[in-house]
Amino acid sequence: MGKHSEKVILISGGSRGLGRGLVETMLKDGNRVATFSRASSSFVETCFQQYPDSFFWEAVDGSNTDGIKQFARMVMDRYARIDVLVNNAGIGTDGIITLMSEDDIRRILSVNLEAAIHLSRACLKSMMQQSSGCIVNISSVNALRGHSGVAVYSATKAALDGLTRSLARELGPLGIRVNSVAPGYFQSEMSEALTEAQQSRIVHRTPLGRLGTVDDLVGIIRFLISAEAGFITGQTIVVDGGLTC
Amino acid sequence: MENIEQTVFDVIAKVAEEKGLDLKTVGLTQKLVTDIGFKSIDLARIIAIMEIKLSVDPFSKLVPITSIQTVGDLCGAYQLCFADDGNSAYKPDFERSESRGEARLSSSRMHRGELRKKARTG
Repeated sequence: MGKHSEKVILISGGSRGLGRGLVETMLKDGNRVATFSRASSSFVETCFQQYPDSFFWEAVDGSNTDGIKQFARMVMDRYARIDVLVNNAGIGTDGIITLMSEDDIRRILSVNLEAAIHLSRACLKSMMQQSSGCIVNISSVNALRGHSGVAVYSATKAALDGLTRSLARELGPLGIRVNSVAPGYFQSEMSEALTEAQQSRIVHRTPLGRLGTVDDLVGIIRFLISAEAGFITGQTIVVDGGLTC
Repeated sequence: MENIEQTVFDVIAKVAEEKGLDLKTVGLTQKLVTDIGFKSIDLARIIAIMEIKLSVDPFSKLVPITSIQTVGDLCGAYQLCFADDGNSAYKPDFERSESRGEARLSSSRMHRGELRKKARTG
């Protein structure tokens, strides 16, 4: 078994994008991985076949608070502990704030922020019992810099960074670490919505001269949950190729 | 009910031992903070362990956490969860909880006032 193995890792929104990359890597590392998403996918089916004992998935909508809490309980029933939580599930909706529907605003707040709070609360019951554990919140460079058209999304991500710092203070005495990762623009379903011209502009403004990849992000998250990051808590690690430097 | 009490006692003893607190016996009248020496994070841990053991959290809706001062209060909160039709000898002290909450708010306001005064006077 490698140094990253044998943890019980709960990843919200693990059927595509960064969540999928995390699920794949963490399973390959020998961990037990639990994830939920709104609907199943061929990736989820493949994981069930390849890792019948160490993979667990349920259909849960990120805006369903009771469903999220129930999912955490199911993970506890199945694996008897939770070592790592990655609050990854999130949605982004573009639009000038006054033109957004109230329902859209409510949904972004619910999926991006409320779900992370409730899931953290549920998983912490296990981590507090163990006096060990690790939470990684997936934030965004939008939490650090102002960008037009993403006000509500940015607000939820900045709130996640606040949650990270406060929880790090609160839970440090119990040996539980909490950090954020703030990705810049990386190749995903979300960045596919950008036009070619928009992508070129971003690449041009990025010192490292490219969009990020899922692997760039998985690497840092893998490090943050490892023993090598044992003295890192309450931090927001920006992974954006230098875009915000 | 005795089982619940014993479970609470065991969890308190375990957490106290892990913290290196000098706790020879656990009794219903002992105050969790002033007598035993727990901090609020320890109480949160005790409640997390109890929830995993008993699958209930009386503090999510039923009982205000600020009403818990003694080991007996804690036992009572869990007994309330398992009492038929809420017929438990334990009644949470909502009044005490409110007054403690008020005291905290007022102390926090006073603290902020002192900080402002200090900042003005340099």
